[in-house]
Amino acid sequence: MVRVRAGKAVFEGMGGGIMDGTPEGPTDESPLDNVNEFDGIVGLPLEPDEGRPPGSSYDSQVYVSLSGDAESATWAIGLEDDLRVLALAFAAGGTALAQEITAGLLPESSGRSRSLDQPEEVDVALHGLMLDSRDEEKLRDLIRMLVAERIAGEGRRP
Amino acid sequence: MTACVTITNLSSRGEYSALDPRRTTGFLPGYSRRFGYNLAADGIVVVLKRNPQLSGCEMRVNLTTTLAEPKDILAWNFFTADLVDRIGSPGLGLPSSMTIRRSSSMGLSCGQGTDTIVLRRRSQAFNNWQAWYLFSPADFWDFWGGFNVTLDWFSDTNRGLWADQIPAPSYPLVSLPDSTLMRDAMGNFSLVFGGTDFAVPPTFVSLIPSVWGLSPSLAIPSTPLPSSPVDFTLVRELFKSQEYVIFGGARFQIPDAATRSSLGFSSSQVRLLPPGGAAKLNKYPFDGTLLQEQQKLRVYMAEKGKLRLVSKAALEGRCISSRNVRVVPDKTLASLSKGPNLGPP
Repeated sequence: MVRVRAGKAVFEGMGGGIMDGTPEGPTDESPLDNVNEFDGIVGLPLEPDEGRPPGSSYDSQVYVSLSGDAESATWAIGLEDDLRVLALAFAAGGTALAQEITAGLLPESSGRSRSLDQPEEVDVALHGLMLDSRDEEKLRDLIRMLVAERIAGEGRRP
Repeated sequence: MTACVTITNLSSRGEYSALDPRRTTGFLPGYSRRFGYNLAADGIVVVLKRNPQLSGCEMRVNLTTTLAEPKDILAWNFFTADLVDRIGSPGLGLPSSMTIRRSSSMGLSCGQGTDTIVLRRRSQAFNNWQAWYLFSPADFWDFWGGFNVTLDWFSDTNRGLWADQIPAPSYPLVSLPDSTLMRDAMGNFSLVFGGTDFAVPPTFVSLIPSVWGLSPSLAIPSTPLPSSPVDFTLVRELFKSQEYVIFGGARFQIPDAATRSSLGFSSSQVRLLPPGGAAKLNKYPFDGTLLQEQQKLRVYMAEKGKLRLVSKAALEGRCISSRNVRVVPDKTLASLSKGPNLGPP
């Protein structure tokens, strides 16, 4: 798992490690106690002396989003999952592992962003991956190549 | 062709499910729903009300709270990792409502629009804003797009579980399971299927054990239930040959076993209603129900007792998710009145 970097004020506390407990204070009678008033309830209230079960952690999940015109394109089917695997591999083993798992799928990296070579506009945003700028650019390069290969593969299809 | 790729980290513990109003039953009209959220340290009631003025790409978010500690809700864009809009507690000088648009919809570019909302608290101890919760982005828009979403943040001293300690919702969400037998104070029995109750005629009470395999002595006290079965409920009335699948509270006849199978159902899913039970099933679906016949690509939206054909451009332009389109047997939509076509917003 990749650790969250609380890089923005908005995410202070979402992974930064300050939200383990709850604020001190009395536990009032909750409207949620009357389950019949709801069409669905998420979660359960804990008793005052009840500890939380194990299972929650500060680890975050890698979230990949693909949007824009490409969202509904045939070549984009499953791309989010592939990109997630790529990002996880990159986080675990850097460029070497990312290239290893995509060996044979992608052309050799040009060592620079390939966005200018492509007629499609592929905008990539990376947040909270704790990569230095050089690695970040490598990951961007791999992502763009993966997308370009998907598009090219679509064109080769009979 | 533009592709906006975002890779970011989300807190597993703070990302709660947006419940699907179409896979639950409710007392409120149509798909309006009232959900409770026992969050890790807060309690929130979410009321959904379909807004026909909004497409699925839009949502009206309202915040109500009387809590002393300031709260705000951010409309958040993952691509820019920044807020798009913000509402907050009274006294903060912020509005209490905002209309948000789904990211990359309606011609918005990569950094525009909202992916989800982030719920924050103003910490007195640390004197800063702390983000605690968000809703799973895809579900948030697929399920709540086109609704007025009112969050009543009533408690910040609640003690609940973190999102990663809660199992994913298991649909359908109903208050009582199928084949629950109820008995009211007058001695009348009813059976629960699809989250709603069907009266058992007095002459059939003696047959309850043999027909439904239930013991009248184990009936629970009657409790009020929603008036319509939840989506994907399959029913057949005793002594009748017509089998129905329920979508949007309405019945759609399944003509034969092959059709049932092709819809992805099996005979074991068909619930046997007491005589007269089918009369409780609506002919017209709730407003906003999306329907498609098996062999046709046309998608219709129910609106005021009529079906409106959704144009291909409108499917995308209105952010209509295929997850919400219900497939019904061929010809079942022929008898329903048709309204004007539905174009892009």
